[in-house]
Amino acid sequence: MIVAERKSLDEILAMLQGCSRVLVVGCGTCVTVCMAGGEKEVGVLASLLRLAAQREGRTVEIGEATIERQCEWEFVDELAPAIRRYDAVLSMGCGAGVQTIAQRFGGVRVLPALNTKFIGIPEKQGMWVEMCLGCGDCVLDRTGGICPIARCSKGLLNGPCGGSQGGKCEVSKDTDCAWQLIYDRLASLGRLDLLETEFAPKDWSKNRDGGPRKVLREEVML
Amino acid sequence: MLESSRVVVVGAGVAGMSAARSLAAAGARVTLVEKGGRLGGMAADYACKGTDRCNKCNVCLVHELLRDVKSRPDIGIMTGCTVDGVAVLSSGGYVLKVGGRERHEVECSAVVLATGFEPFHASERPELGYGVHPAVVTALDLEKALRDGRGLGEKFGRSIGRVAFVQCVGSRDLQRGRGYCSRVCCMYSLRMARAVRHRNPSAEVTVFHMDFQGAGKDPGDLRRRAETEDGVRFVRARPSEVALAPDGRVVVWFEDMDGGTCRPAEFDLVVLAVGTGPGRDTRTLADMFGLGLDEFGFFAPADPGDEATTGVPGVFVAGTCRGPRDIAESVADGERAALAVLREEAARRAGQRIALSLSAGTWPGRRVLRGQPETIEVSSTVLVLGGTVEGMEAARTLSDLGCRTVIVGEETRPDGDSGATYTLLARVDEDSSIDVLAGGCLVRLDGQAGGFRATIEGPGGLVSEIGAGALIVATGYRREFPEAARGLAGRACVVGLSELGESGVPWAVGEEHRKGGGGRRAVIWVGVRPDTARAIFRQAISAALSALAAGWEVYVLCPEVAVAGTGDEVLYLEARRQGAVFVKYEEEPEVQAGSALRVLVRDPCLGAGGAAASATTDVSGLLAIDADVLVVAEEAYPPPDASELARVLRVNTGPLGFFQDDNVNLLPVLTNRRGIFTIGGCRGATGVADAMVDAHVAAYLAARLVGTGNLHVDWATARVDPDKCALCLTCVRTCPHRAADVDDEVRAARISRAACWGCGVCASECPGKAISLESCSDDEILASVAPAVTAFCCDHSALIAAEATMAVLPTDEAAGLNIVAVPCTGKVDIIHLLKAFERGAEAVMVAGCFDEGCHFLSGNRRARLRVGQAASLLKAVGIEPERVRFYHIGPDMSAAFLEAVQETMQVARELGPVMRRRAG
Repeated sequence: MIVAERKSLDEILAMLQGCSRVLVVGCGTCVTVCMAGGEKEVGVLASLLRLAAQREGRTVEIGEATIERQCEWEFVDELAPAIRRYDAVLSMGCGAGVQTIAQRFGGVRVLPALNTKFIGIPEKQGMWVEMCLGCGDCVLDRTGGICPIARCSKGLLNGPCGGSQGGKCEVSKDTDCAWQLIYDRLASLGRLDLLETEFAPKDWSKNRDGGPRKVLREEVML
Repeated sequence: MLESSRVVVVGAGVAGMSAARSLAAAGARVTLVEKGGRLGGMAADYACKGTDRCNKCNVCLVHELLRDVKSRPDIGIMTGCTVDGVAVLSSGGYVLKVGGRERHEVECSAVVLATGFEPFHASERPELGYGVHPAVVTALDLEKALRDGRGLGEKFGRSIGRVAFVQCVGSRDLQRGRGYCSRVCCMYSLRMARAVRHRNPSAEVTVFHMDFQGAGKDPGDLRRRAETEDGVRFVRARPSEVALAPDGRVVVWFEDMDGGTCRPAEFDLVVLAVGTGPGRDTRTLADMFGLGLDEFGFFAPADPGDEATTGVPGVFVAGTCRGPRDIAESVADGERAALAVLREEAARRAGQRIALSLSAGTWPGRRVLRGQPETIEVSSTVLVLGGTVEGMEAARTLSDLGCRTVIVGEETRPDGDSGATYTLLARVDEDSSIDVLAGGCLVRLDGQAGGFRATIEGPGGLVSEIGAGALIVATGYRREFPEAARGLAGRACVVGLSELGESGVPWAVGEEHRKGGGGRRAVIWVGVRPDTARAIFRQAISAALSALAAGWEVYVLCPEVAVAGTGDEVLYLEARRQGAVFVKYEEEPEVQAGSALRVLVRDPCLGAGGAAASATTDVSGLLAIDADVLVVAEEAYPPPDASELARVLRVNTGPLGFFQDDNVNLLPVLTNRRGIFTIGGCRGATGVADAMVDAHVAAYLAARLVGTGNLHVDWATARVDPDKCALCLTCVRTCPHRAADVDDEVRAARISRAACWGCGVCASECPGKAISLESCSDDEILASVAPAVTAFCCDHSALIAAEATMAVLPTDEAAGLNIVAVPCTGKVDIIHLLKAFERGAEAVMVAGCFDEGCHFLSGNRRARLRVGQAASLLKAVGIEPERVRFYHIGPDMSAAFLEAVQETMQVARELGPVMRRRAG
């Protein structure tokens, strides 16, 4: 899933300077699951915005709504009846959600309440880790199901580097060396032979080369 | 069952209330007769000894019982009444003459006597100065003072700098005919010492004791904390006199073990840890009902294996009138007496299936909220994991109660009398309602209470699925030499204590190992943890007695003489009388290798000049014992597969890796999952007697849960709105009771009504707001938030204290306080905290149980995290974080609650209004 984290309240409050009617919009998918922007977080943020205003003696109107997915036109449409009553929409979706709402409702100020961090998993309750960079050219078949692009600090394809010490990355002792993990995993699979084939330099044209990417599937198009 | 029968419970202390509650829950009409003017017995005066964490004193259980019993319409309560006479009916029942303000005749089919104990009167030891020096108090006085909540110095009229606890006052005292250990004093003194230190951090505490008698799941932990965190000093001495010092302090005279001389030490407060004796009415009632008493005057069991029975039909005993026991044991005893009543009733109505009903009032986390009533069809089969003696006993008991059981697992050789075990085995074999799947292993468990599906892998990889309403885990424990003796295993002339058996010890074993010449000499080394020691020590003494009888010379090496079990002191004294030498060592003994066996141990009692007669060498108290046989008492460890089994069962393990959290609300046999019980060795209760209590209580609770095939749920449970559920699994992961799983058809989380305890933790954690707790939704909670200092109070602790506080709170303060009841502080959502401020609260406090004492296991921990989160969020919007606070409040701590309220109000006053200018 996409993992996000709420921006600091200072930053959010600064963004909302001058807005007295704000609609806080949550998303019921990834950011609900990663506890950054579901209905509960919408309630918390809305409450804090009211308190901040009350503390300063300002009168505000903070609306709350959570839709199934902020990245789908149909769901975003559900906001249509109320959205124009507000000075600003504070989206608690990922970057895609913020932009979908903005694109759907021209003339409405849509602001991000979250920083979208990465594609990852909850390693354990309350801790999320990055797993995939969306590079567009998956190599997991050759690396024992462990991604060197996302999980090696250097994104090395022919690791490890000299900074791998005791299974940890030199960047932080809390970070596993991805190449150590790859080695251990391939050893347990009996496929260390895979390491004997060098990776050619990565073809980044499948990533950001040529600008924003598109996936087109004509057979499912209407 | 028992529709027409009435059971009279005499005595409304802990055991009596527990028996009454349990019988009423099973459908009996109960009359509770209490001599005093109120319910609760002695324990109603005890103080919660929580510091920042729960110190496992169990006092909260008394308050739970009080509320349960008072709230049940099917329990008739007669206070200020005594049983003055009894007549036997031809039907086998009794008519009790009950006297009080009025006289009544009560007809009943069974009587449970739970008349409690009488504390030792400290003035019977005048040399200790009780009643003479104001600075000498009893532990009961200290209980009341702690409960009062005022500063202890104020209470006792002096500063509390140095405090002494004097143990064994009226216990282990042959001169006064009290040759037994009172079993509870060591633990209560340590808890009080911690409570005293918590209130007076500068206090220095010394405990004068003979031996440390541990009880509970990990008594060693409490002792370690007392020593390391509170600096409690243990002095092994029995003070001879407490005298008045010129400055108003008191002087304790004791024999200094190092110097062997009598030495004084000054204290500001001396607490006498008075022991427990038989209640005043015990003899009268024994005569009235024709019951036997033991040599100390407690009710004596007719059948040591089933201690609730008396040998007189329809008459049962429970609690401290049978001998010393702590609160948790008394609760269990009450359950066991209720079981004995039901079993006798069942036997009387032979052939009729027993019908039991579960009512919500029988589980932790029960009373508060009612939910939509629903009857769930459940499987009445109970799966017993482990063919231990306790597992077999549980199966047999369940069979009596009309449940089919399946025992899965190998038979293990139990401790104790093997004759009794074979009888039990035979009875299990014969019983057509008990199936045994020998050699099976549980590899997967699906479903919830009432409808578990267990996947069992049998011998040869054969996999079968068994449906069961409940599970009893009885996989026993693993025996191994303690760490210090581990290297000795397998050595010649070294045997494990358990290999000897309890009776008929083959002391001929010495013959083969005998080194020729000289007397035969055995060393028995009992170097086990305090929790194990209580069960093991008796076996060690029995072994010593057998050896002595066979003409051996016996040395018993141990750090403590653990004699808290019934009758253990008598056995210990007998072993000493017959010449066994007990060495209480402080440093681990050393066993020298070589052709002969030589054990070196330092006896702190022996100065440079002393030496025991048969010990060959002596250098400053160091004994060198040339032994023919060394018997090593094995330490108890969890079975090797315990952690894997715990993972499959999704139950928690506690101290030392045994099953069950160290939480008093689970004692004796509950786990974090409803319908899964854990008994005997695998939960750390390694004595046969304790394991039998477990077996009976668990069988009874399992039968009450699923015995009828129907489970009536009327308590509030958490409900999931599948449309809102994002399947994030937060509830599955955070539910302390593992009641949440995934409904594969609906593709949403599902919370089992049978398994849910109703704490609301899931509802407060759900990021999609898809879960709500019946009768306790966000709207319902927020509706009771008012613009005042708001206190969210746990129904099991702080709310009880709050009710008492509100009764005495000055009107102006009461007006400024808004109490919001929650089933558990774990139900307090971050949203509630913030909304309270939105709605005009100037400060918010959350008050709940002590750490590790949460009635829902971990709700208070979650609440504390949320309070911390709320504080930092409020700070981010410019509101002082001090305005949101968490307090640990025990149910009897009304004074502490008042202090917390006043402190919170003070904070609010000092900080001024939250809002600079009220909007609108």
